Amino acid sequence: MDRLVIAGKEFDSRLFVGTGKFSSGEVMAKAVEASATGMVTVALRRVDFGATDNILSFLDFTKYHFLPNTSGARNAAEAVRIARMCRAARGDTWVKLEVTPEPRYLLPDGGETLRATEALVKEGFTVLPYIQADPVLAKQLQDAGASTVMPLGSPIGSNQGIRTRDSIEIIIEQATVPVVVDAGLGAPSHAAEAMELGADAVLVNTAIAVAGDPIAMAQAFKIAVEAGRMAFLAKRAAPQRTAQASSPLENFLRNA
Amino acid sequence: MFSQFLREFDFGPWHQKAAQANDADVSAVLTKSHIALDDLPVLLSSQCLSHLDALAKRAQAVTRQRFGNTIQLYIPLYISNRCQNACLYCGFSTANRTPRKTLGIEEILDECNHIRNLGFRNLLLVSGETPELLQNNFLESIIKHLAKDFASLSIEVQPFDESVYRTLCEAGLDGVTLYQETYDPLVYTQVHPSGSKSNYPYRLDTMDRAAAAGVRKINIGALLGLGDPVYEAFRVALHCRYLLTRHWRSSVAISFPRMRESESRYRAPYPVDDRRFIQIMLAFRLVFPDQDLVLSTREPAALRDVLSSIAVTYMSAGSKTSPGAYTKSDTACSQFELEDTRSVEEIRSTLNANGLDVVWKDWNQNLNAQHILQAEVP
Repeated sequence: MDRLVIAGKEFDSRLFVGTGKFSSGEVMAKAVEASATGMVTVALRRVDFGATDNILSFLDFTKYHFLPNTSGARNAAEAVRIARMCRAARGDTWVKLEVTPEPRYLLPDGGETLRATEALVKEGFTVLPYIQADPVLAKQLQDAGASTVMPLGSPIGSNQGIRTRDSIEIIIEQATVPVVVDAGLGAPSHAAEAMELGADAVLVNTAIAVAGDPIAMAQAFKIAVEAGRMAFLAKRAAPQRTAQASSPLENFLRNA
Repeated sequence: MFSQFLREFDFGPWHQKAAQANDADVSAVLTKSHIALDDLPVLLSSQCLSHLDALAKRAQAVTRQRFGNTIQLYIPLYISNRCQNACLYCGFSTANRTPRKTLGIEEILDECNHIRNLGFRNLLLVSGETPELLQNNFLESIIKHLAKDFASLSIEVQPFDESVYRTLCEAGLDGVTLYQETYDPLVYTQVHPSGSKSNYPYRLDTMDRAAAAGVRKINIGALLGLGDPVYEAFRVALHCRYLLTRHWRSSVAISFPRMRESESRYRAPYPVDDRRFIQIMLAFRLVFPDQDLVLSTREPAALRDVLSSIAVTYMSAGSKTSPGAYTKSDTACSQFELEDTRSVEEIRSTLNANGLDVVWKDWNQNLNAQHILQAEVP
């Protein structure tokens, strides 16, 4: 698969994975490995830096780039605080920005996300913001220095797939940074769909963690992302409404 | 405020639906793709009791889907068993002649040390209703002390004014647990004859005040056994829906305390048997797929194990309901008898064996405490 570059860092895999909701640290680690991902995200609110068997201890960070996320933050100030806390504890400067004031659907607050992005970019962070599929916001974030934009397919954990297709297409068309479709991807076919649309990568958590066999599901997502990307590069023909002869003018021109 | 909303809501149609539900009605709800609040009466009907297996299967699927394969643990810390109320059913009633104790700050810190070593990062501070809590900023200073050691601090004490909750939030308070006990005003008056707790509407509006003050986690419930369980369940559900809509920034959790033997030797007029109890929790899981359902160690181990695999997402473990009991053995009386007396390690191990990962920490305390920004760096 062609390499993906985010903020100067190269990735072989276009599937990123989250680490929540697994039945154990061991299963999580095995699923992450099966996904062949190059980047793993962890909710900092889950991390107890003081404990020796915290969620981070299950992951080999020589193999995966660590992307802490600010899930739980309700406004820009909280998100910035969480990012700084992680940098102070571990030195990480990459952060997945999640500002979600409403705890049921966990939909992102665009205004606060933009504010947090501006502040964190100024402080030298590499910011990957999670957003509603809002093309204007996506452009504003890119202007503010975000290293990707991460529009949602559907609400976190809902497994409904891509319900924001038209807007994601616009975002992809207008993007100057990689676009990562994040949230709501419930099946490998959803991930393939995102890649066929032209997304640069996808991020998946719930669909893998709550699958009957998370390790097999992680592998399925890996294959789907590869297939979707290959299809995109092969320039899939646009769907036609009517049957078309391969070249309606060919015979006429040959005989003209 | 909720007290007004409750007064104005007509529960007639719900009670009728529950009374008239037949087998076809139950099947229809259980196979719907989207179950709504309006379906609660059918789920709580006597007819639905013969569909518990189907109810459980669906509840399990929803719980795993929304919460993953995880369960959160918390522990209660009783800071005082002094109480000025005379609730008929409670071991702390002022009418009970029993040794009373309020822990000092050093004793509380000792208890918390022990609690942290067990693994807990979610702490529930519990007390009888005593004016000591607000004297000399006692409760506020406890919260300030403990804020750095726990990811989430909740209180289960008397209802406060909004300004008090605001102060406590600034000190680091994350959650408020408060049970209406019974939503039936007549029963309420009978079982709460004296003390501040006799004020029914003030208690009912507590979560409005707490949420307005910025409390993030609110935990409601009725004490099953005091009033008719379907009556109570309808009102708890309405309360939950109201809070979710009106106070959208807060998370609402629902607890299911069930009457137990206590010092007061009060006999529940509406005892809820295990099947009914399970039915109520499963119904709530289907109608509120995203809300934490909480079950304490009041309930026996086997029941807790099965409910944690199908509906419950937040549990206590290794609890003691008497002040000082984590570090000392000769303690003042407890609030009620516990059934699940397993150690924390035993409970963790059983949960793991059932395919559930224990989540000790799921919040950053410093997100609540505005004044302790300095504590950002662990």
